[in-house]
Amino acid sequence: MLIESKHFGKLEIEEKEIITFPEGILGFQEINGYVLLEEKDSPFFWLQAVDVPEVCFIIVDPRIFYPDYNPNVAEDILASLEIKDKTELAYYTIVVIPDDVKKMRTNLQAPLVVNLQKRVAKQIVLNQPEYPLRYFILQELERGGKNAGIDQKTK
Amino acid sequence: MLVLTRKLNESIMIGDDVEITVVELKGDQVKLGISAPKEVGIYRREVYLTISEENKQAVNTNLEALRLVKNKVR
Repeated sequence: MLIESKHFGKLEIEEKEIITFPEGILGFQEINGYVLLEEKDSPFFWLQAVDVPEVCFIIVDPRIFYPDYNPNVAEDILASLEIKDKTELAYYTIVVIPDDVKKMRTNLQAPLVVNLQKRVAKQIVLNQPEYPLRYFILQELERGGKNAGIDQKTK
Repeated sequence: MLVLTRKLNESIMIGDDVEITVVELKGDQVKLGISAPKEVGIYRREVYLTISEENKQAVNTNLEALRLVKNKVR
């Protein structure tokens, strides 16, 4: 099927690629279907709404720069995503890149938890204070924070 | 907004599937029990609002900005 996207124009996608968020994403509850698009040569992905071209999020697996990221996911959430074991879950966090790109940040408090096999997902809200709403990725990398994932050439 | 008064252990139904019960009253705090289908999200209002707001900021990101920073994150 053909969809319109904000950044990539018309895209041909398969029905089976669509990831369903039964409750939508907070603030965008009316939108339930998204596709995952890779951003080449980067750990980032675009989460493009299938029916609404202007709604497109940049997301990332935060374990790239925060290897110990380990959200507590309640049993009933695992059940609603048809997951038996937490290890089958994929986590992505929504990224905000403001005008000052050095202040790029991601929401560790409300990750998207995804069952990639069944193509079903949910945004959950964590109660873990070590995972803030705004985690400043570049600033933390510079501090030699959670990992040594900074490209030496850019130093 | 519909305003209803309830006593301890009384409930309110919203539609056929959501039930809210006054579980405990202690000083100026009310403890509410909420029964709803799995697909319905239940959040404290201020949490819901901050996360919605942050999500709305996120859709304003542009392609150019991502291309500028993507090499810095590995």
